[in-house]
Amino acid sequence: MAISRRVFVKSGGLALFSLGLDPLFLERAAFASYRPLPSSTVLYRPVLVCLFQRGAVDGLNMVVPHGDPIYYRERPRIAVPEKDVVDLDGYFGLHPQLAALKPLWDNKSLAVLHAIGSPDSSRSHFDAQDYMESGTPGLKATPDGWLNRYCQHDREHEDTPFRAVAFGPQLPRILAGSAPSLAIDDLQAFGLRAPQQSGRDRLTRAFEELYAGSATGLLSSSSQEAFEAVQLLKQVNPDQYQPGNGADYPRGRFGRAMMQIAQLIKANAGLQVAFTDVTGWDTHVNQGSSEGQLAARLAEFGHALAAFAQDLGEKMRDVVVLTMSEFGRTVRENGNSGTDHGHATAMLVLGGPVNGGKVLGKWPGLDPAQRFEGRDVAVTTDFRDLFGEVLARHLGATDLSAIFPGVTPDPARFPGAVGA
Amino acid sequence: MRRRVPTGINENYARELLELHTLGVDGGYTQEDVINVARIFTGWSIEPPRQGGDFQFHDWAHDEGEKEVLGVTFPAGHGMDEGARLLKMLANHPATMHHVSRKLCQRFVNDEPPDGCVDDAVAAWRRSGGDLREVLHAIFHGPDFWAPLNTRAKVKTPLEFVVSALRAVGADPDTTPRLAQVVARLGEPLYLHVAPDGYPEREDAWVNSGALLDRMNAGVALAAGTLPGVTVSLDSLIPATGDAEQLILQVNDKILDGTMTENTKDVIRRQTSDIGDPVAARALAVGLAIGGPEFQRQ
Repeated sequence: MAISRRVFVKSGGLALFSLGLDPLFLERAAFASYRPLPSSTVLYRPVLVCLFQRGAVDGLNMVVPHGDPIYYRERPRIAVPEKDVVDLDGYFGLHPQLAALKPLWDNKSLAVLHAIGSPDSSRSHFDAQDYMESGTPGLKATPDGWLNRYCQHDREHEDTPFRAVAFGPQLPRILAGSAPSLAIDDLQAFGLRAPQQSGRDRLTRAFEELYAGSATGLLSSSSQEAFEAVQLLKQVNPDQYQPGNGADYPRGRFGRAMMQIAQLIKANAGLQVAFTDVTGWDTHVNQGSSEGQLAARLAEFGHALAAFAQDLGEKMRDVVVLTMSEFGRTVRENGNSGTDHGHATAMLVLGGPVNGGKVLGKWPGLDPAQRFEGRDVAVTTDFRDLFGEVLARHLGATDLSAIFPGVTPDPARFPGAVGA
Repeated sequence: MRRRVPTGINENYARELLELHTLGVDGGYTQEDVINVARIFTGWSIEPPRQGGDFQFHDWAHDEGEKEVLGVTFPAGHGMDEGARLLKMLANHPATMHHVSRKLCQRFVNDEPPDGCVDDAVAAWRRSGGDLREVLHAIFHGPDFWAPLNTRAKVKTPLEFVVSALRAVGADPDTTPRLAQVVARLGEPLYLHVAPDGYPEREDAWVNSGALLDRMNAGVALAAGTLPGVTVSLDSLIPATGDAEQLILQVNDKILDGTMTENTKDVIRRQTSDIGDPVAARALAVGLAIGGPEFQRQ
């Protein structure tokens, strides 16, 4: 049974008080302003899942412009042959290892953004990832990430430690900032370990007192967030999880992260913004075509996304999954049967609210005259216009200029990935 | 036998060299410079790894044309020497001095190194023609290194945390990779950093709620003798005792080097008060000390 956020907070809070604790998140909730929601939308809790393909995915082999002969001319060794492409609209098609996503395209919950990227021309992974996570291309001094700024801006949801969660060993740049956010490597192992529950509670209390009394700076704030989360997770009980609808997640860190995101969503633990990343896209050497290095990464990626959608089932109506990568790769293959750092790439938007079954954005073509600096796919959609649209139309953000400083928000530039 | 001459260049190493290892990302180079550095290094290769993997220069793969990097011309036809000349030029570039000096100050002084400290290091670099002993000497003897603001300012990396914890309790690591897996679990898999820039020197890379809980768990496990990959015997270091004040004194002295706060003493006192077994009380006190906030700082 689904429970509303408020009921959950209330019962969770009572349980915490009965443990004699003073949960910080309830204090925050007390300061949060509640806007009463219309009764029909009480159970609608939109969730955004951001996935970063670190290393710059080759957008041209992920979503293949198989209708363009230049693609085949420039990539004699690594192009995906037309017969293998999973056609989408007669011109673009999915890499064959992403075939698991085709049903989502067919039911209009998957859209593709092509020729999207950063207005900054850096071809450095570090800079470009930094810019995509800070949301301020060209500005290195931005202290926080755009997902965190969204959380700072929309205080209404600030009532659970699981509001913003990054799955992985480190809190990524995108979620760094003053709004509380959590890095979880593994939901099951989260918390203090002791043979018995009583021992766990005792250790948790002891460390909580240690850190509350003596920690300073980041050690202090991070430890507070940790202890709030431990208490809340006790009630979610992640050990007993079975994916729904026979969903089968691929082995490995990424599949596991996707499964745990689904778990938290289904547990109604207040998750609103989730993030995880997946590496292995920097295919300078022997990239492969229908099979090979990139194909193996795409297979894991596609299967994890498909399993996630299957696992969530009906719940996907509240969820948008947004993929991103710092830049694309050269149109022409290099001397090592790979591709070098380029400019625009492709991103996927998936979920119930998505205006799917379309390749969105303005396709600049692969003609050398249309390319960026004569070599790369040109950027025709600023990534902030897509991210901003998702924040505004899915999560209900009202002031995008606070989240993406330096851009004047204009719905006319939204690529149309989410139904208005 | 004539080999097929490769077409195209791989810019990746060229960019890493300029951005990460020498000039730094704001070091004033352009995309044109990156391309020309990549051209200069065409032909630089290694033997097959099974045959030793030593350096090899393939002149048949070298771009014979003239190149220009940072406004300096590299005349055509100098083969491998072009790369050697470029490396010397980059090593002595002012942007490299600043970039590397700043990294050293960040490593030894503060995540946000004071400008004065970096300037001193750069000056020593210039004076000594790049003698790193002199550069480090300038950092360690500068006023910033000893300033109260920079004392215990840095949080231990996971590797530093594990190594210092083992040393504090006199633990004996075995030869299995299990202890390295503990370090990996805390967020720093050894030799497996994804990006070619080395593990970060900033606390926000290591301190987050999940990683902190992992450190607490590792501290408790080490003190209880259940951390994989090590044997611990606390008896010679901190004899088990029923006297709580004696226990706290010993743990403060041996584990925390006298930095234990009054709050930590109180917590340990309270937590061990109802534990009858002195060995269990000692394990808890040591575990709390290693997992607690004082021990997380360098």
